[in-house]
Amino acid sequence: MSISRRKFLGWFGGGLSAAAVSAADTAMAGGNHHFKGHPDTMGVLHDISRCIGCRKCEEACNRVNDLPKPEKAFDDLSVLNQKRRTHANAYTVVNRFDIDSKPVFVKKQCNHCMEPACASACFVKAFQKTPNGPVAYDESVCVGCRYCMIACPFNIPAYEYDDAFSPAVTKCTLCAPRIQKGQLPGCVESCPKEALIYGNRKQLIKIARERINKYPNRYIDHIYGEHEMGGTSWLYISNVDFSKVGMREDLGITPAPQLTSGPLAAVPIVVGLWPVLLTGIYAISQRKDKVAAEEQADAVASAKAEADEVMKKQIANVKKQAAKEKEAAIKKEVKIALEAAAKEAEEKNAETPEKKEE
Amino acid sequence: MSFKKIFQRSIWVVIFLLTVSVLYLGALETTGTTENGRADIIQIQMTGGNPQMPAVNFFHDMHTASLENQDCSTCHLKGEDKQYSFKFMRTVDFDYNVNMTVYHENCIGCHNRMKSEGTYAGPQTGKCRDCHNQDANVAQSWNDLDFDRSLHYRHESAQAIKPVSEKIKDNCGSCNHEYDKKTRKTVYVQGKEGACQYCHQDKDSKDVRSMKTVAHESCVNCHLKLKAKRVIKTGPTECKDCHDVNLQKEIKQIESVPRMKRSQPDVALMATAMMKAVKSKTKIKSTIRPVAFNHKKHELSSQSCQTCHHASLERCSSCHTISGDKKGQFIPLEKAMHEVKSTKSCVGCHAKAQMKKDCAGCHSQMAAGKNTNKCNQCHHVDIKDSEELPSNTDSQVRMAKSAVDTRKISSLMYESKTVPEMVLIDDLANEYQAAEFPHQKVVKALLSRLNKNTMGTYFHQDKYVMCQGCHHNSPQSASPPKCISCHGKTQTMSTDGRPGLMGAYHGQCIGCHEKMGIEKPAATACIECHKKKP
Repeated sequence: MSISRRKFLGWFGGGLSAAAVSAADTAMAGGNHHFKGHPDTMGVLHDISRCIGCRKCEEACNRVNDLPKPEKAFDDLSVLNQKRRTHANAYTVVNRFDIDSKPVFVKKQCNHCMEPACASACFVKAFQKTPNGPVAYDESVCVGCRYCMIACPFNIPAYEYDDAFSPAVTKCTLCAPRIQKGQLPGCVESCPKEALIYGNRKQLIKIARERINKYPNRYIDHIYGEHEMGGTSWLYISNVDFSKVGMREDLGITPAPQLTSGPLAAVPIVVGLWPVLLTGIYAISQRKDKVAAEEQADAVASAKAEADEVMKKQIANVKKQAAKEKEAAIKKEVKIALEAAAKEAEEKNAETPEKKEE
Repeated sequence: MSFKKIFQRSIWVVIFLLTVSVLYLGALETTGTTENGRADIIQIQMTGGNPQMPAVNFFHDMHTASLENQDCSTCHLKGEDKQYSFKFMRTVDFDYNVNMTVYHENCIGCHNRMKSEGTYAGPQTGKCRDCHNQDANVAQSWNDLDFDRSLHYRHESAQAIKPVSEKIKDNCGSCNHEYDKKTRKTVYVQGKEGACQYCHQDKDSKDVRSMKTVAHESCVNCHLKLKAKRVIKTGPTECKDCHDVNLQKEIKQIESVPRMKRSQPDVALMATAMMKAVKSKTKIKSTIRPVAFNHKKHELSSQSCQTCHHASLERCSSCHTISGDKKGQFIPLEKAMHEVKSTKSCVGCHAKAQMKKDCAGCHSQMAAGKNTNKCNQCHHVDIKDSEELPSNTDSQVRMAKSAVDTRKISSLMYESKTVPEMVLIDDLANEYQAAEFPHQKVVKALLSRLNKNTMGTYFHQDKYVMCQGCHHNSPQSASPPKCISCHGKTQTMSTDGRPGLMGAYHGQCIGCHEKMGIEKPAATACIECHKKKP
């Protein structure tokens, strides 16, 4: 395969910009740049001290979202005898808490976090914080992993378990479609006591402060949701401790995405760099083996050559020796033979004289 | 007899013994208790050492009940003044170890002795945890005793309590005293009486015993003495009789208590600012008008002198000077009188009264910390500048008295034809029909509550002030603007916190009913105010 110059430059540029984007993301999440939420984002202020538990908000929510009718009618307040949570067919529920034998009612629904945990847990981007407030859910991309349900610190997203073929996650939409038409969210519009007001989040915080200042004996000096989990679009003020009405006070003020941004920011590095690194390490280790093998082969060859040389010499020596010995043996044998011949001859010579003497 | 039968019988015997012992223990436990719990628990924990065992919960009334025939000297020693010190077996505190030994020797010693005599006895030697346990199951019913004006009067008028000397008619000196630092003795000075707490505070100090110590040593010793003299009507000597929440309700209350005799004024002219202007001889003539303060009336409607005179019975301005002084913790006179958050100040106390059921319907919906009164409602002595202020005290008092007398405090009434009988609230009718608001009935109900006391009538003298409970933020008038003039029909997207019409109506009606304790109609009974559309 051949790579053209144009193609190469294209890839190179793409890689650079991707690196730049991921670096910028990391800096935003982990660095000292602080995301203060979208400006002019909208929200709802729930004044717990005003709520009378009439369930008109539940009814309106059911109506505007075309949800199936519940078993017990909305004007049946016996439902409040049990603590409920949101479920597939109820995006909002009102719970009653008896504090010092006086009932206190609290509405529960998606808080529409400024930096939502559900969105940071979702790997297909089915959740998105829209600049005007709502945390929107896109059913078309949802894979049904339900990580959002686990991630949510307020226990809000529900799942259509009874739908076998196309189940979806359900939660309050902050009536985004109605808001676009210039209408108020269903629950806000129907609340007879104005325990819910919809408006600019900054303005709502001002209104909440004003109420707390005006009636210091009525309210706890805290706006729940102003800072919890990095702030939420849904804000609460209350006449009783929030922990007594089932609202978590252990959440801290760090937004959920920030808690995971550090490890997640490392992912591009791991994904991009590790293959190169590991391949390099592999290549190096491979080369090392190869070199070692070559060196070994060389060493073996030279050792063998040396041994051959020695052997040759030895063989030569041995041959020489053998030749010498052979020569010597021949000489010896010859000598012996000569000597024997000489002796025989002498003996013959000697026999004759003796006989003469006799 | 088979083994099985013996076993069965022995089980029955064990069950019987257990039941008897539980009942017996139960009977012992109940002495000194009432339905609510015990009022006699004294927690014994020595200070100044390093305790290795938990505190002892000592039940005092249980001990006095089981030592019925003996007097206090069984456990308490008498001091130099021949009065019991209610420390246990000592008159002064020693150091940690000595104190501990005092308790161990005497408590366990007595228990052992009683055991050897064959009577029921408490934990003996070696049973450390029988006393040193933190039994959390013991319910407390202890409550501070409120020595109110009724109780004070019962002591003041008691024949058994004699005056300190023949020259003095009243018996105040039996309890009240001043401390002479030179002779280190208490002396009675007539006309200088004050609340015990002014000197006897929360903790013992070098010269002064704590309120707790003094209340027991002085009160109980006196009750014991009278008991010994066989006086029939004498005060209690057991914990529960003073301190049990339920028994406190049974303490006899005198309906109309006469005023305490401490030469206090009936009325006082509060003119500190004017007096200062007079003294400084400056040309500043216009200061705030004096207040003619009806001391007598306030005395009767407050719990005790300490409600206002929190540190001494001197006049307010002696500590709270105009510019603030160390003596008055730098709280200037103006603040001392007008601080809404304080219960000692005039305005603060009045604001507290506004939170009573009869008043809270309207007043709880008004912003706290805002003084709704006009200055001249209290500062109403009609002199325009300091030159008109009489210099001698008697004529000042006379001036105050005439100002108080000329105040018109008449019940507030409206002509029925000026008050609409019924108001139809139909601006919002949608799911429900229009609501028929029984306007006149509500006005009458409010009037009857308002006219119950003088504070209500006095501060609602301006004719349409009461109307402003509902018709707020608009000028006083017989025909206030309609709610819809300010509260929009629907909540708007750009809210400024002002409720929409539906929120305003429900907030005011339901809020008022809730605060005034009107249970019907319930907040969620929609159709009782407006019928459902057919």
